[in-house]
Amino acid sequence: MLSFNETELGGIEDDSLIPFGENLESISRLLDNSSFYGTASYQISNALWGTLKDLKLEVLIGVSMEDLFGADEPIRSKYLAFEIFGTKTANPSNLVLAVNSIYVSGQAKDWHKSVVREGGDGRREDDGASLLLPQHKNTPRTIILSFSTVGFCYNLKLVSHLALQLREAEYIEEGIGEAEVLRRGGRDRGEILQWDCGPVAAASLLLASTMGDKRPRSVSSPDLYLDVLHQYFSGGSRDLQTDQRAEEGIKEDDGGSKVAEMESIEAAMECDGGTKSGGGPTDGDITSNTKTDVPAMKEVVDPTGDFKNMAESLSHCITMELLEHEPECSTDMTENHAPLIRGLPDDIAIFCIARVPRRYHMILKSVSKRWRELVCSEEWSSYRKKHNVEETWIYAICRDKSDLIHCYVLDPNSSRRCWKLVQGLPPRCLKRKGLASEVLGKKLYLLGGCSWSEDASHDVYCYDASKNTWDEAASLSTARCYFACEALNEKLYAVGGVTSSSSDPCSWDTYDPSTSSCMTLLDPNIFPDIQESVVLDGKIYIRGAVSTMSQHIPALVYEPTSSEWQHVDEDLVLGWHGPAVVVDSTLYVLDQRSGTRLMMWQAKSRDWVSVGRLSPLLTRPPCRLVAIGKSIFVIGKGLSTVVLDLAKAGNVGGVMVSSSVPKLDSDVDVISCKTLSI
Amino acid sequence: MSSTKIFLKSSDDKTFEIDETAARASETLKNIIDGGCLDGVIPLPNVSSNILPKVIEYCKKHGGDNGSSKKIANGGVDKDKEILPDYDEEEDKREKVRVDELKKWEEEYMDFDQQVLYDLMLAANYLHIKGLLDLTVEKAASMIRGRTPDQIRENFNINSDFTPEEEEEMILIEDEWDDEWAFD
Repeated sequence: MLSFNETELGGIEDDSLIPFGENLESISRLLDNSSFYGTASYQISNALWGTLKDLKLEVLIGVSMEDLFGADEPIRSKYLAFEIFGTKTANPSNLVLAVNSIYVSGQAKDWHKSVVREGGDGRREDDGASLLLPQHKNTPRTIILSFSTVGFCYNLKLVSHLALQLREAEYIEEGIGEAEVLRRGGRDRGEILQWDCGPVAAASLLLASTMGDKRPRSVSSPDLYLDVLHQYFSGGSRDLQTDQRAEEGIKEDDGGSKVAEMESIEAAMECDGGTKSGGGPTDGDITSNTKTDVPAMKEVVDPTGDFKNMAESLSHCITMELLEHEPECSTDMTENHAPLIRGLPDDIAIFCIARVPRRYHMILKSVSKRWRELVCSEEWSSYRKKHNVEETWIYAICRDKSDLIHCYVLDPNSSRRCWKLVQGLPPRCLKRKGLASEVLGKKLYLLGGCSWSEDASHDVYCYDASKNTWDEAASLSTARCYFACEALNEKLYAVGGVTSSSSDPCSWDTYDPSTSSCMTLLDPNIFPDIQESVVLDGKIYIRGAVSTMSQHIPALVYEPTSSEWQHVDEDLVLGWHGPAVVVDSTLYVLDQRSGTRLMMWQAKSRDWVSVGRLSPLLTRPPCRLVAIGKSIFVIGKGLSTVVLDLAKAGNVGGVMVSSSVPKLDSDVDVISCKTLSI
Repeated sequence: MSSTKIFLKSSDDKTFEIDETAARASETLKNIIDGGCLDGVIPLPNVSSNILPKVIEYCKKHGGDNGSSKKIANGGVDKDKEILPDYDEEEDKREKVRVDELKKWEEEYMDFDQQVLYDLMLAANYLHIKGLLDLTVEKAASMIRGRTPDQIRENFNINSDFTPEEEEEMILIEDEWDDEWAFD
């Protein structure tokens, strides 16, 4: 019989707190080695257990259902799978495992009755599940495979050899054999029960069973645990006997181990039954999730202590965490435990809050710290994107009559569309000329430029749209002004322009805000005087100024695959007069040489066609272009804005039908316009 | 097929009856049914007996509705006519009536207190009834948008954990951002 290292049960080691994702390699290895997709239930788990065992993992393994089946994969019937977290401790016999999200279906009728009773067969059990396994002599009352949730595996201290036992017990033959499956109630996938020792896990499981049909939506009160624990341990002696019996059984005859194991399980079940009939304290305030009086769990629990001591320790070490669905959301969870909306799991609460249109987000930030954290987080924007509720606003960098830079923003979805001034522009860039702007994620960057005092600047400023704050960002490696800047593959490209005298003008920088790194590269093809740039088909196009000496217009295209700048075909360049924008992979250019005319590049026939003229009453050139969906926004002097919906672009008498946004009172010049989605 | 009855058991052991077609509005129930392991009563330990009838009511209204709202109100009677292009205009009108009717029904259906809203949301999520989840989540969202922070806190029983200084600062920022945008 495998021995259990009791000290393992004690406190927490911080290294058990390993974020999901750091070990993707081991996960993929795990997945490669076993073929569970679509196979029968026990084969699935068998393969997994076996692989786990063979791998002798030193690190935490996290396998989420998404990894197993793909995020959009419908749950098929007739298989059983687990979400598994495991870690191998220093003691090789201690494989720490946690099981989440037990998916049951199809032939899983042979599951223990409790499954049928509580979960129903064929049900997708995705809200957290646990296996209660037979006890072991030296494992103080608990051998738990417990649940965690997507993402982080918190302080899971679980007993190892059970994995092996699992493989050998009835488990395999009967699908799951005698393992008791208990679930937590509610749609609480977003919750994490944080514990550091066996008894707590046991208590939580027992609690789940005790609660019976009156399952708490969120199990939060330590008192509940203690009560359950009390009941559990009052019947503990019998379990111990059973354990001994089980051990004897194994000694006598290896073949009899199963039977012994079974008995032990039965005993555990009886114990469950006892607690159930005893009636759990189900009337408590179980939905509220107040944890303010529960200190952070850093206490060491002595698993062998008497109940009173343990209960006391437990009241310190049980803490309940609410965790957003996305793993990244947990970054701030240690700081603020309050649920977003009392009575709702956070993932549902986020679902509600994220539907609120972007123009109200400023308000949301004032509700509570938790709400503010949420709205300012990266997860917020990625969540809104994922659920197709993101909204795109337009940011315009303008220069006023006294040569000061301003930033304005437009919410094109608002019923009263109007440009608003964005406050707090860093004073140092107010007087800059020739600066460039570009958007990456939810941040708007202002790069380079020059001023009275300096030829060209390295400075980069960035505006976080959800925080509504300006910050200084990592500098460009080459000081530039009057250059082109485009975003491609999560990086910014700063090309050409006027560089400081010491730098090569035929250069370009790649700027990666995520790593705050910037690299300068040289290419003799690059020319300094760039007038327009655009990203089309994943390539950056730049166009230079028309030279008085020749008809030739310099234009280059950057291929990210080869990192080379090549000359652009003449036919495309010839029609490229003015600001460009791409809608549905089609290039549009606003020709402002006489009136304003929207041109479209037909890539197949390789020619430019006129889409239509814009009413001179509305447009005030020089204009810049941005596109949202199928709409092109033509933004001119004073931020006069004309919106052309290409999907229903009417053309009356050669003049395009459009809607407009009122201009500002002051006649600012538009330097650049960018879209930013949250 | 439509006459097949399915029995659902609430967390407090009460059994409710639902047509199979209606039950299919729930992905979870649909999977159970299609899994072919229907064994009498389906226990729903996450749904209590005061919420389950509400869920069933929704499923009845939307049963068999997988994207095409036409089928529900028609009850299958006019299905053949829909195929004929001649009926397009008529169909449009009827469709409009149906949509209006459905909206009215939803309005009445959604008239309940906040706890029921939460429970229904959780049940819809658990049973994977997308329409109901959307409906309930939308209602919760409507209690947030266009409200002041104070109203939101009141609606959801949230305590402000900002210091008075922070509050003041935020009011300044809000003013800056001004009402024009947020409360239109």
